[in-house]
Amino acid sequence: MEAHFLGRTVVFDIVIARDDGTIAWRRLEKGVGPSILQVRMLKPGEVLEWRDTWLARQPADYRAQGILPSDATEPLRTPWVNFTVTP
Amino acid sequence: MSRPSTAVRLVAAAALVAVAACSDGTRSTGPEPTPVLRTAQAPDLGTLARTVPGFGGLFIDNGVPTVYLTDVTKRGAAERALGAFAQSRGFAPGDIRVLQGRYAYGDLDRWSQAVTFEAFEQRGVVFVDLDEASNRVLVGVERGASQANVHSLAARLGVPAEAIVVRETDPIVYATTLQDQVRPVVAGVQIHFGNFLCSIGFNATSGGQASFVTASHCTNRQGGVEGTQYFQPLASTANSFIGTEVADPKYFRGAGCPKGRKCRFSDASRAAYAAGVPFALGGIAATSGPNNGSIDITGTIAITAEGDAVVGDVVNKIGRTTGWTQGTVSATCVNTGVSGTNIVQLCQTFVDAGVGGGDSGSDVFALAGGSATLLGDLWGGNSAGTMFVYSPIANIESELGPLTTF
Repeated sequence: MEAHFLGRTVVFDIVIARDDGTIAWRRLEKGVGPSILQVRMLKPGEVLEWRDTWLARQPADYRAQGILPSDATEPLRTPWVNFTVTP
Repeated sequence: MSRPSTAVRLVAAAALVAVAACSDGTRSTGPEPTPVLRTAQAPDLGTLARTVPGFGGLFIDNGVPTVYLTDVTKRGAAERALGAFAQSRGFAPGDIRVLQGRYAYGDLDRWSQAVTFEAFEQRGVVFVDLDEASNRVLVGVERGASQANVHSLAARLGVPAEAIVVRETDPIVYATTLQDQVRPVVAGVQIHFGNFLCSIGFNATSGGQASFVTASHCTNRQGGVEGTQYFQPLASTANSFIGTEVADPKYFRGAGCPKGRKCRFSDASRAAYAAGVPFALGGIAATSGPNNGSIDITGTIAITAEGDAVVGDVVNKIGRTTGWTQGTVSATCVNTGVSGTNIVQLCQTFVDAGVGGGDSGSDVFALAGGSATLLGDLWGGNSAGTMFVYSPIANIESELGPLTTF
């Protein structure tokens, strides 16, 4: 199937939120990127992964969501994932 | 305090879901239902023709249920058949308006089908309709097409001359979008190169060479000419090759460029149209209006000037992904670092308006009195898609050379 992604290097966002909903970190919080659209043909069952690293400043309960923009009205979003950073 | 690191993995999996559509093929074997119309739904006209003597058509005239009867003394039958329908629209059966009809519905239906069967062999016929609102058969023909041919056909088929009305109309075509093949090529439509999609910024001539301008990063390599080949809308579409990159200055270091970065004053490149590709100099594909999300092309906007914008000006862009967006200039001459690169675009303009992936290269313009002042080409935006950045036209022409854009 044909998949569309933002950017020559695929642009993706990761949001880390605290328990109270405030944003602890956002990968694409600021910045301006090219609005080019990349077209890829995905094979059946093909999986693409994007990774980044965030250094937590405080131990706490957090949740994370990945966001993948394209030319669709709304970007693809992963389900929220809960995790705990221990001291 | 320890500084644990947490790696968060984003996994995007694509799945194709096939949905099977089922149809209920069962048929009732019971007795035929009695054709009594008690529902609020629009009545079946064929049933009315069988149950109301002289029925000639039903329509709503300024909100009032209205029927044609060839014998207006039969209005009682019409009131009985259409009473529930009238009540569902707030009228008593006695409020139904009855007009003197000339033709019975059954005759109009028969003539309409006969004309339909043969009329489309004639050039310019757009539609054939049993027009309930006029108690006639209505035939639409394109402007300039022969109406006499339709009348001759009707006569040959035995349709009374007064029963058929021929009207000029616009041809009905599939809606063309900014992502479809558009000829002549105009600004704002989709272009395809390699594995990428962008938008055309504007058409131009340079030293007499027919050209279009798009973003520099909408070439095989940003900065430097490598002969990128462009297709509109897609390489897989027949007759879609439109041109080849011919101008894309290299990014420079020093001379006002921040340390460790490379710079230009515009993210713009020029491609020469291939021989025979029709294009409209100064033409921008227009959608139905700003900020409504539509990418259906409804016309064109003409560029009649070039200019620049100041903070607070309202400006527009039209591109293949988010269509026509409009917003206010929030900053001018901003030295802008491009996310994920070592590029700084010098002296760019920020606009609070929508943008999406694939809009790169789009035309940016101010609008006054239906004509456009070309301001530049869009190349980027923020991750939320609420702010775009464009290179001013003066910067573009300082790097690509003088351009004739309208």
